[in-house]
Order: sequence, then structure tokens, then C-alpha cells
Amino acid sequence: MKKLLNEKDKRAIILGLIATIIVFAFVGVDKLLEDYNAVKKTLDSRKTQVEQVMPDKDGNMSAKQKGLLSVVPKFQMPEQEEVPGAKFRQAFLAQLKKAGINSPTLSFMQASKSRNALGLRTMKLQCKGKCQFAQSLDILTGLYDNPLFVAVEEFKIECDPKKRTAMELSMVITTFIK
Amino acid sequence: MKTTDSKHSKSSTVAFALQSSGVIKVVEIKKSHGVFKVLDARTIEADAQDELIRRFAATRATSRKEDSIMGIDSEGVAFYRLEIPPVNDDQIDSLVAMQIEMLLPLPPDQMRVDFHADDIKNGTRLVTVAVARKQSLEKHSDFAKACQTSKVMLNCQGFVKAFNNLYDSPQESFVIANIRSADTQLLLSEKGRLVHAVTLDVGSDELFESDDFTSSANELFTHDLTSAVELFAEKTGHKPPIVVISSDVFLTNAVVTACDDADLTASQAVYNGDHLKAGNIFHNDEPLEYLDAIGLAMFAIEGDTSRIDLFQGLSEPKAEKKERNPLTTLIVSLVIFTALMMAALYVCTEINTRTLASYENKDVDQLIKMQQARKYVAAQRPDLLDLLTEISKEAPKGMMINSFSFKKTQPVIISGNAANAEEVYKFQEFLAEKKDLSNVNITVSPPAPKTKRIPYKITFHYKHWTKKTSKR
Repeated sequence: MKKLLNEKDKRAIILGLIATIIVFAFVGVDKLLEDYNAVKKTLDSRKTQVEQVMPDKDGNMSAKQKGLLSVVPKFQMPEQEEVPGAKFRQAFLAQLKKAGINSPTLSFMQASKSRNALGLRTMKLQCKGKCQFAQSLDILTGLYDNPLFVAVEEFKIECDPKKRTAMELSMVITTFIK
Repeated sequence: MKTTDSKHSKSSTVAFALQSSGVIKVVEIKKSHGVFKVLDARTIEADAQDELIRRFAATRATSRKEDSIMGIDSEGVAFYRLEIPPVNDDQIDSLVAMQIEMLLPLPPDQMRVDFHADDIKNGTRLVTVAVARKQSLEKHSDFAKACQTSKVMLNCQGFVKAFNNLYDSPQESFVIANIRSADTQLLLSEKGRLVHAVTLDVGSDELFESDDFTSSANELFTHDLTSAVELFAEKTGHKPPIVVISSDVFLTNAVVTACDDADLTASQAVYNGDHLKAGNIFHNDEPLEYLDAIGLAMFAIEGDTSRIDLFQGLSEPKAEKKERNPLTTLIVSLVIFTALMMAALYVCTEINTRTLASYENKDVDQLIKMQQARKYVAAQRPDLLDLLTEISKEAPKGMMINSFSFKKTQPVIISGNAANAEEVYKFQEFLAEKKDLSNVNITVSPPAPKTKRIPYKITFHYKHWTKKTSKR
């Protein structure tokens, strides 16, 4: 029986098959490389995030984390409240009393309509009252212990021309609400 | 050489017999219907050997002829006849090794030994042992490999084989006295096989010096010949007859006569060319000078596994290395590289995925979320405490601060009064030097008539908080 394929034909078919395998292999490599890069990128990003929040083997925080904690030592995400900002107001009032500022006037200003990067809205709380310079510093210091406090928007102290120790305090601070 | 000639069948055999003088005798023979036919015979001079190797190797590479054999001169090969008890074949090795070790001139690891044992006769076995220096054999073997010959053996073995095929043998056991120009080989042939050999240093060149064969050299020759025959007879007890062969008929006759005088049975070799067809290739039809080579070729054609083979394991030609096509190599390399790369990528991706999974837990997620929130808050939070503390601490003593006002997106305003303008400017300089403050401006009013103090108002920007663009 006459052979269907001679040596040349067989060689051509084998080479064709090898070439096909190589092409598929390179396509496969490309896909694998793509997957590898994607996973690597995610992993690196995650590692950086974890390194920032987790202490190292010796229990030491990173310098960045330490710096961040010095600016925001306490923080908690707001909860859903019946009266938004009520807890914040209550905590701030306690701080004012602790600092010796009696009968301050506290009033919420209208909350922002747009949500920030954290998905929260901002609400401003205005405070007016009489105090001494040292008490105003105490208030500013105490705010860092309030986990619902975000930032000071306005801060104004003014001396009574007749009695320098008595000062008019006016400040606006912010908190996050859901 | 005609080895490449297509008219020769593939069953032809080429035999090279390397003589001690360096000359090579070459014959090409084929066997047909029980008769050996010489296709070619020639002599290659010593200085043409390199050329021979190249030509022959090329011939071998193209023609792929399987049968070729090379013979070397037995110079440096010693033969011994040992008598051992009638043991089985598998026990002979150790007995021979034990006995021959005492006879070896060099340590056993430097020597090669091979033997052939006769059948048991009269309650004993005679063993023919050949011994040669390994280094010398390897040298010859390398030469044979260069010529791509498949077998190597001793010329004297070939000579005995050819003699038994082409000359009349007086008995089953006899001595061939092969007188050559420089020496004389005494070869003990038994049942057509070489069983002992001795080389005398006297050849036809010296024997010819005296016509009546009575010179001292001739006497010495006869004496040595007698001693050798006695040595051959040592084990069997009877002196074998001598067959003298040389290229000179007169010398042959003289030696036969001398042997007779010495009580040795001797005769001239009688050529019987029935088994060899050579056409006109040989002078006088007798292939005397090619007997070695012819015998070697006969060995190669007929095969003889029982013969002594000192080259066993040395003479096999190296297996030809298959040369791989460069394209195949490239393709195979590419395939392997790709496969390895895919495997490496897959493994790395898998490892990274698992590592990532180990980081994925709710606690860590919560921590990261909190971290992001803290960062956001920190970006909103000016450090007013630090600013106020700094200002109140560094303000000159005579300078009074009446008010401090901070509001995001608006400049910080400090107002008050000072004892003199210098203090105010000094304070302004201090503020201007602070890296967190910028655009420090001062407004000084005329002194108050009653207090003589100078009212002032300082404005500046604190970091980015008070700038218009800072609104977040």
C-alpha cells in the first residue's frame, strides 16, 4: 500500500504542530503574565496597607502611623442616630464643663448634603461662651479625646477690653454623620 | 584503496596489518562459496599512515561497511603455556589469574591478560595466556578507533590462521618458523590456532651473511630455535615439527638442513592456494608478505570467539554521536523555556493569591478602613492648639493679644496693642520665619492718646487651611 505521507510531509506537519503549540503557549504565557501582574499589584497594595496599620514583629508602629495617631489619636465611625450628632454634642458639652466653661451656647448648623470619600456627611456644631485663655486651650486639647470630633472649622477668642482675663469664645467644630 | 568502489559487495572485509617497521599491509577480501577472493592488496608506507587514517575514516563514514580488522605486531606481547588442574571453564579465570600474576613483569593493573584453555587431556588442562602492557594496547586501539575498524588482534594470530588455510600442515600441532628480515617468529599452531609464540632476534638479514650457514649468528639461531621448540614441548612432552617459511627459498632450505642437523623435524612450507583466489595481485601467486593481513581478514569473515583477544573492550569504535538539527534544538529550547515560564508564572501567581488570601480578613479590613478614615480626618484637622501655644509663648513681653481669629479659607487675624512698634515688627519677623505660616502682613495704627500703646493687626495664612483653595 502506497504511503499517504512521505517524510517531507510528516516533517511539515510536525513543524506545524510545534509552531501551533508555541503560539498557544505564548498566548498562555501572556494570559498568565497578566494574571500574575494583577495579583502582584493587589498584593503589594494590600501589603502596604497592612504594614501601615499593623505593628512590626517587635510591636513598633511605623513612623507614618505614629504621625497619624498623633494628629488623630481617637476616632470612631459615626452610628445611625435618631438625632444626628447628638452623641458628639453630648461629649463636647461634657468637655466644656470639664474645662470649666459654663453655660455655653451650642447649636448645630445645617449638615452637608454631599457625602465625602468615606461616604459620610459633615455636620457643624457652633459653640459660643465665655472663658479664659487657658480654658480655650484645654478645650482644644480635649477635642482630641473625642472620637467623634473631626476638625475645627472656626476658632475665635477675643478679650474683654475691661477685663482681660475674660474672653469671648466662638468656635465651629465638625463631626461626621451617616 | 578500493573500499569505496561500488562494484565490491558489502560483505568484503578490509584488513590492516601494522608491521613493526611501520609499514601497513592491507588486503580486501570477500568469501564466496567457501573460497576467499582477494579484491585488493597493497602496502602503505609508514609516512603515509596519517593519510590512510583520514581516507579510511572518510570511506567508513560514507560506505558504512561493517567488516574491517586491524592487526598489530606481537612485539611486546608475551605468551605463556600454563598447566592447570582439570577444572570447569568458570573456574579457569581465578586459577589463571593466580598463576599469571607471578609471571607478570608489571603490576596487574598495568597489564592486560587473555587466555584460551584447551580441552582436558590426560587429567590436565593447558592454557595459552597472552600478556601485554595495557598502555601499549590502548595506543594501538586508539589508532584502530581513528580508522573506525571494528576489531583489533595480533598479526601472528592472523598469520597462523592464514597459514593453516593456505599451506599444507604436517600435523595437528606444529611450529611455524616465519623468517622475516629483522627477526624470526616461532609460532606454535595447534588445531589451526596459535597457542604459543616466541620471537628470535635473528632474521634473514643476518642469516644471509653466511652461505654455508655456519656463522656464529646462524649457530646462535639454531640454538635459540632448538630452545624454543623445547619450550613448546615442555608441556606436551614431544617436540612438534617445524615448518619453515621465508621469502628466500635458499635460506629456507638452509634452515631446514640446520634443523635436521640439530635433531629437529623440519620442512619447507608448501603453498596450497585452493582456498584463495587472487588473480594477478600477488607476485608468484604466493601471498607471503600479506599472510598476516589475509589471516586477519579470514578471522573477521569467519569469526572466532574462542581466540585470544587482548583488545576486548578496547577496540569497539565509539558510537557515533547523533548531531541534532539546530532548528530542532531551538524549538526544543523554546518549548522548554515556555513551559518553564508558564509553570513559574502559575506557581508565583498561585503563591501571591494565597498570600493575598491570608491578608483578607475582617479585622484587617476594619483596620485598613479605620486607617483611611483617620487619614481623611487628619487632612481636615488644623493643629490650632500648637499654633495658639506657639503664638502666646513667643509674643514679646510688652505685646498684648486681644483677639485671635481662625476660619478655614480666611487668613488668621491677630489683633492687640504693643508698647512700641519695634515689638510688633519683631513679632512679625518671628511669624514670618515659621515654615507653616505665610503672607504675614501687619497693620500698625497710631498710638492711643491715653495709653500711648500702639494698636496692631497681623494677618497670615496657616498652612493650606486658610487659603481659598483649601476647602475640602
